[in-house]
Amino acid sequence: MSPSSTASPILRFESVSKRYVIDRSRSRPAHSDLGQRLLDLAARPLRALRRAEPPTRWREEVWALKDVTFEVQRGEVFALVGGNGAGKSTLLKLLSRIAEPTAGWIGLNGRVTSLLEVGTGFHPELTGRENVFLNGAILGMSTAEIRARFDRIVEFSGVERYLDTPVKRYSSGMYVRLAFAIASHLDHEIMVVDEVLSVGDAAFRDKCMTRIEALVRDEGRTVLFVSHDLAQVSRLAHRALLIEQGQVKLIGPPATVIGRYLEGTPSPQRDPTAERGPLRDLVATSQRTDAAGTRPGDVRTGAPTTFDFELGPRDRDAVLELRLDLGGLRLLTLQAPVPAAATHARCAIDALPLAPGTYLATASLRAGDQELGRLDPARAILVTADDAWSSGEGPLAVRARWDSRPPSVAPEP
Amino acid sequence: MMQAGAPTGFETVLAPGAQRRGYWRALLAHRSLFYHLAARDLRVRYKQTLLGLAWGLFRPLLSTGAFTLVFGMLGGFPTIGQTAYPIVVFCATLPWQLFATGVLHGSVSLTMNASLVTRVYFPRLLLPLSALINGLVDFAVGLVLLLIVLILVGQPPTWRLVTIPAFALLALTFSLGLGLWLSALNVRYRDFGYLAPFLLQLGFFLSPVGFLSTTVPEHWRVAYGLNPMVGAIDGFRWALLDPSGPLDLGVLAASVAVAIVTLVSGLAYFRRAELSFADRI
Repeated sequence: MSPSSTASPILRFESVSKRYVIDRSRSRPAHSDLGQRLLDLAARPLRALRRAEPPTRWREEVWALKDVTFEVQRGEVFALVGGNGAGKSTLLKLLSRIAEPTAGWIGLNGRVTSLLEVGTGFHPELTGRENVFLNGAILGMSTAEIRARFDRIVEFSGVERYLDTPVKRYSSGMYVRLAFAIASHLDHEIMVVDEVLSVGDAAFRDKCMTRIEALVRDEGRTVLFVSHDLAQVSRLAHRALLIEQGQVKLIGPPATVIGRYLEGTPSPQRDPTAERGPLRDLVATSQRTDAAGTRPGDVRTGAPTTFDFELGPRDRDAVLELRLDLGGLRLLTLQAPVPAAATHARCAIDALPLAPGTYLATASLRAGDQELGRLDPARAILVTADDAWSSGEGPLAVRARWDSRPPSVAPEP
Repeated sequence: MMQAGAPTGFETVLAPGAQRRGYWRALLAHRSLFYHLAARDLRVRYKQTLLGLAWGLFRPLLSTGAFTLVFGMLGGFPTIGQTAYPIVVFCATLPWQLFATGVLHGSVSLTMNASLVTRVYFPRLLLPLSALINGLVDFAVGLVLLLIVLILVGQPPTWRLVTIPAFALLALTFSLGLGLWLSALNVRYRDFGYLAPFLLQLGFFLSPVGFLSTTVPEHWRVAYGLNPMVGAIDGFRWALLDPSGPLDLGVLAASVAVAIVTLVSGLAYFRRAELSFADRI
């Protein structure tokens, strides 16, 4: 799994910078209604006159990326972690050639497929079959290549029966499945995955992740991906890069990078839509008996600890699941049914068996196969040491009793 | 360890200006996409229509009918030899339609495919280029209809028929040139998307569709030929209708020159603007 360090990298960014010039004088909407159009039409001669005057606009320069340098080895899964507007998307845009760097260079030893293009160019009027060929061509496959993969694509997507139906009649799930099937059957060496795994149902997301893992394991593909789901990052990635304000802050193991990212964002930037979802918040708190007192968010090794969930409106009973991860390793899964009427749920652990460190808590609310909601983004649980409990290396902390006896005087048979 | 410096040991290097250098090679490598984009446009056009391909004949026949009616009421049909006026008009609508459809589809080809432009890399030239194919099918259907009519009225075309591709190419060259200008400008200023239909309407009446270019005074004729559609339409009439006067080579030269200048300048502007399409669209 770990790529050889002597081989030349499959991908390298060298001092890459990207500058955008924001032109304030042209902040007009791209789409306007008919009334606006008519007004525009009437105002056109006026505007033409104004344009003839010397321009008084002003420009602003923004460096979306500044001096970004990193390498990715063949067969590696490399994650980009960073907040909104940190430069992740710009970086992927440069990689997929939609934009060119302003300075620096990007070296590639293979072709790039972007899964950020899932479903791009699908035409609603065309049938599933026609769209497979069109989309394949858009992603860079020749007609012969698509034909050779056609059966496998159709099988993976599971839409055989509707192949000759226009995709405008597809459900959104079928649409995404077909699109992902096409993109994931390209044999390009480098795959760029941007947030696509946040669409579709839970079962399909899992299938996609499994497919990506298989491509990496069996075919030695290299994957560069962006996800807000930090649990996904820690499950898939071998290494991660933390990017802030267009600059590389840290490259290293996913657990370290995620920990640093979450520390840098003390109040987790929550998705405003999640505030209204069925699973709104999670706070972990350890009970303290000493003078320090109990503080929400303060979590100690070995202490009695509660995980408090704030729940939003739901229309049915569901199962609440809490998961704790460390660097792609699932440490713990706890679940319990919660009735539809509950607005809060609490999970209490007598003695938290986690050594000091940063853990990732994810949670979801399910009814049967359907996911009603999940915690987004995942929460970091910072576990601090407690004097009463000492632990060595490893993520687990348990209270252990040791006995040592003098040389045995056990009776011999 | 990473060292700065020249990129070595990589098959592909993306650096400022790299896309401009490998442009024509990239265009050739994406020819299968050209085919699929053109096929998409054609398929979509006739999905869920009853008349299908017949729609392509609708507009040329309508304009032929309108001109016949108007000039019939005014009382004076210009004719070529013994060829009936409606045939003279219909013959001109063929290159006009080929040109106009290309410009119309071409001018919005980038903005209509904004999701492609912002998410996938390919030479953007493919979009206005594949927009030309829309008009070609209508053109072929119309041409076949005209040939049938000419045979039925007892005026079968002569050897000049073989020059038709050259005049069609003239119309396509001008069409692509204008399409490149308008599509690239339309990315920045949506005004040009609205402007194209007006320009075409104006051009339709200024071009010799409903009348003959010989109506224009002799000493103005070469200047009139600066509209490349004059050369294309005259060429079509010369090639298909018998007997017609000799082809005015001065007019044709002016038309060809303007068409080529439009294409070359359009290409230059398009390529200069191309890299910023994804950011501005």
